[in-house]
Amino acid sequence: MARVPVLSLFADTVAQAVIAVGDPGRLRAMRAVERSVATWPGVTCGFHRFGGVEFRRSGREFSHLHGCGLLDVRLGVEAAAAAIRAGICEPHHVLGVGAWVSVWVRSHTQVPEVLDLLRTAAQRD
Amino acid sequence: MVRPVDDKPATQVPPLPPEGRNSPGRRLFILVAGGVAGNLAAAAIVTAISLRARGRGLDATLTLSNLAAIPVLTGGVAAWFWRRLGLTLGEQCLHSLWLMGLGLAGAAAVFHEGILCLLMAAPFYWSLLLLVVMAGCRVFRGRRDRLQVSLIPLVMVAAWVEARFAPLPAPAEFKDEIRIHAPPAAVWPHVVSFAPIPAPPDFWMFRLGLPYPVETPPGADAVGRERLCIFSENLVFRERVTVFEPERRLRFDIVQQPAHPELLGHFDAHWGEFELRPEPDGTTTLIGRSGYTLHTRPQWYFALWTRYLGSAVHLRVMENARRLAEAR
Repeated sequence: MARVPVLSLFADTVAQAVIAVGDPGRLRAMRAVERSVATWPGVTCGFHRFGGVEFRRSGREFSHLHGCGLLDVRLGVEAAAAAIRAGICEPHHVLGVGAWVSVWVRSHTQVPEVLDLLRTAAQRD
Repeated sequence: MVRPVDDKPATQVPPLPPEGRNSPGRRLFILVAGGVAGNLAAAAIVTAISLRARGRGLDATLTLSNLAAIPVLTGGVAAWFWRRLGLTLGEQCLHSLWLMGLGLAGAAAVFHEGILCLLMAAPFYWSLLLLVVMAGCRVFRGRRDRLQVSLIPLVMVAAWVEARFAPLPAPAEFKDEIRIHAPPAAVWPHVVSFAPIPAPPDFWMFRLGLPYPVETPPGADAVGRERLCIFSENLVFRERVTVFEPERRLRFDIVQQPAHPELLGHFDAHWGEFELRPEPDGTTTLIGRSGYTLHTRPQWYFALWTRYLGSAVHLRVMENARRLAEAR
């Protein structure tokens, strides 16, 4: 699907629409995360090639948020392992154990913790 | 080295950003008003362009001018309403989706467009709509003390020019072939006519409601004879045999096709043909061909769909012939 332009983004948006109808609280939490990160100095937003919104700083992607609420964050190997041990997140849903982690954004109560995680990822050099 | 993204210590949690000055109710009102206004504006222009295009044999709705004009107008008007909402990228994607859904629902209800035709147009339409919404949200938030120049009106001019001067649609054809492990004598009877195909439709568009071939009664066994191809929902293609070379070639003209919303104004089927080619190993290559004219634009986009769907129709008949011929 990633090879066909726009198709993955279209599918991701359909997933977002399903969330909007079935779990509006989750959508509000996703929006809050997206809005916050988009205001950080030096951070730019774009479309992720597998669908969703990608966050970049200094031209490097540090996270992306899929339309279903799955947030993938690049923490680095050590920070990722520490975050997984602390129970904040899980290994990346495709790549497994490594520099990337995955978090399901489900409710507004999670947002501060998620933003902390994203801040850590964005501040990496 | 750690470079802070903001001036807050990592342990301090910032307050969540407010979603603009609008209350949730007002925000919802603006979103809906923008979507409705955008679609109404597009509907007005579509009607005007369609009346112009229809006289030139172009499909009433799915012309390039409409596929360009609709997202530009819908997205542009909606983006103007939404300019102060500060929509994120994710929100622009989502709102473009329901904006598209509203427009397609209108096309189905008012212009009686087939649902499957609209489904085929949806990805193309949505991507253009999203581009316009993104551009509009940026442009309309721009500084008022600067001259704002937009190329968008050029799209409208291009749409009018296309409706006025576009070349008329040209006939085209496509073919499919399969290898059958039986001689032509065993295949031929099941090409000339066939009883109701027992296999349920497994192609996803057939399951969504696209008509599929069911049977061709016997009797069309000479040049000039009438042939009927009966599709699901009792839709009938009336045909006339023009070539009848037993165990070699059957060709027929389609003299009347059913009045179905998926076809009306979009697609004219002109002829069909089956060719049986004997192979040295005793098998048969069965080749199915169809000639048609497509009235929707952009032609390159809808031609892809036409071949995809047309092949499914061919193969349902051809696979049935294979099953019966190889069972002997």
